Amino acid sequence: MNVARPAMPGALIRLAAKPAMWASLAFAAALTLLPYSAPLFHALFPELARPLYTRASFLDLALSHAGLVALASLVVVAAGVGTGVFVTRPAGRDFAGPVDTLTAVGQTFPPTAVLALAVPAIGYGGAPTVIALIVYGLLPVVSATIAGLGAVPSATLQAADGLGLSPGGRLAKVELPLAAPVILSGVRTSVILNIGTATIGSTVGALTLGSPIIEGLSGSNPAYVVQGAILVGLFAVATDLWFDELERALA
Amino acid sequence: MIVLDRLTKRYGATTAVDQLSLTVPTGSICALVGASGCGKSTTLRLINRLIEPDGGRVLIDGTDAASLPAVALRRRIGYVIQSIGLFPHWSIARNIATVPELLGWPAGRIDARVDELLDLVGLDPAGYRARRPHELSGGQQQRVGVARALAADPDLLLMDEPFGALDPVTRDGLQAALIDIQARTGKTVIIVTHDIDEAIRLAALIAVLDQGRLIQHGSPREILAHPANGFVENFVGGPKLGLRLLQVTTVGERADYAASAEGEPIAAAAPLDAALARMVASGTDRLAVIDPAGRRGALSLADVVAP
Repeated sequence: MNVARPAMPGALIRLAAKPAMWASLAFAAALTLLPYSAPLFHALFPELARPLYTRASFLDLALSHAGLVALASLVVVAAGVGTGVFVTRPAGRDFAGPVDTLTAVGQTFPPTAVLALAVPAIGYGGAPTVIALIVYGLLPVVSATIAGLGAVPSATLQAADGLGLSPGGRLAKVELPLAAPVILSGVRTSVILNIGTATIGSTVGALTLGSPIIEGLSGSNPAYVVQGAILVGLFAVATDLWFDELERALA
Repeated sequence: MIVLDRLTKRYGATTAVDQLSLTVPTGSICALVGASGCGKSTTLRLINRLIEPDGGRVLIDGTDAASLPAVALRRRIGYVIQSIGLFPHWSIARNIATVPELLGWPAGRIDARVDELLDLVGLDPAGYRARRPHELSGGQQQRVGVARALAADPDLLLMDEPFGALDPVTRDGLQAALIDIQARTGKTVIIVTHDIDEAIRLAALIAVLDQGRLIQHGSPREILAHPANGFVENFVGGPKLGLRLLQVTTVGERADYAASAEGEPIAAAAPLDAALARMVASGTDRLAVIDPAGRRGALSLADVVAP
């Protein structure tokens, strides 16, 4: 124990110096303190009879929100990187154009429209939300993967081939590691985008931090909107800053 | 021994390599020379099957290269390119270890081999092992490129304009290093270059290509003294043909061992251009000569310029 002690404060200080840590603490503090903030919102919105959202706990909303985004992001990363790799291989090069168009369409297609189309097919709840997030989040990952792989110097590829790396070995040992920072920036854009977009899942019955926002909008309760927006905002900022840390660690 | 047998490669309507046949003896340096677009790089890439021929064969020590899996073939052949192409995310040691790692050598053997190769290419192992490629100069990077190509001890080394992007001083140092490495390892080297002086300096065998065809091949001296046609004459010599002939003739061939001269003797193995340079620098038309056996003689300006 005595031996480990000197290292501990150093690690803690380094962690405490990270903005991502502060944003995460702010998000946790907001989740913890909001349930006790009824007097504050009474003062801010005196005209409202019930100024604090209580239909579900903020913690449950946040966990469900994070779960939906995480699930969608896992699929997005696997499918997006896989697609990007496929269309940059000799076998898939012909598909580069169509894939580019498709993912662009996916992003211009409004997520609300995806929800509206998905609900009749698979019902209300989290599932249509995850589908909308996947469609919406795919473009940044696919285009970043293509851009990252395309930026690997041709001399490096020529050397890899000439030395006798197999096509798979070249991809795993040379191309993906060199493209990783660019791919990660695409994943970051996609995840942050979807933390915001997931809020509309509450219109089809998914439990998200958008629930207070949607209910506040439909019930003319601006206090609910403020509570939901603060939490989503802090969640997105904290996640974004952690990606920042990850990118720095990778560089 | 490397045998190219009626090797042919077409791109659409153009024939990049046209029925090219050439034999490179084991342990010699062969230079493929010609203007850009003559098919010399294509020929090199046909040997390690980075591209596949439309006709003909490559025999490496009697084995048809087409009968081996391409990836396995390339691991047996060293390959150095002009743009070097070190892996930027790996240390110098890991770069050099690329092929031994692919071949599954044990870690201890790889470490020892990396140190041995850094020594061979004139870089201090302790100082360079852990560095990244971007920390090295172009010349140092290409030294690493050569070390990486030699890592798994291939019998054949292919070099595609390896020193073309380097400044003259660095290039000179690397050419000297290559001559030394080849003499110590006995590798067969096929080097592509558009620099005839580089070919004369390095190669025992020069093959002149034009429009995908082999126009002439032979020792530098044969090519310079007896160019097969106007194209070769123009390519290898032009106005400097006489000076280049001096590079491929030794002092010993022209020295008169019955005569003697004053001053510091020049080695019989030195090329005539070195002797001429010595004469000009010291304002004399006679030099003392000594051969490896200790025999003394003299070289006069008339001996140098004699046809």
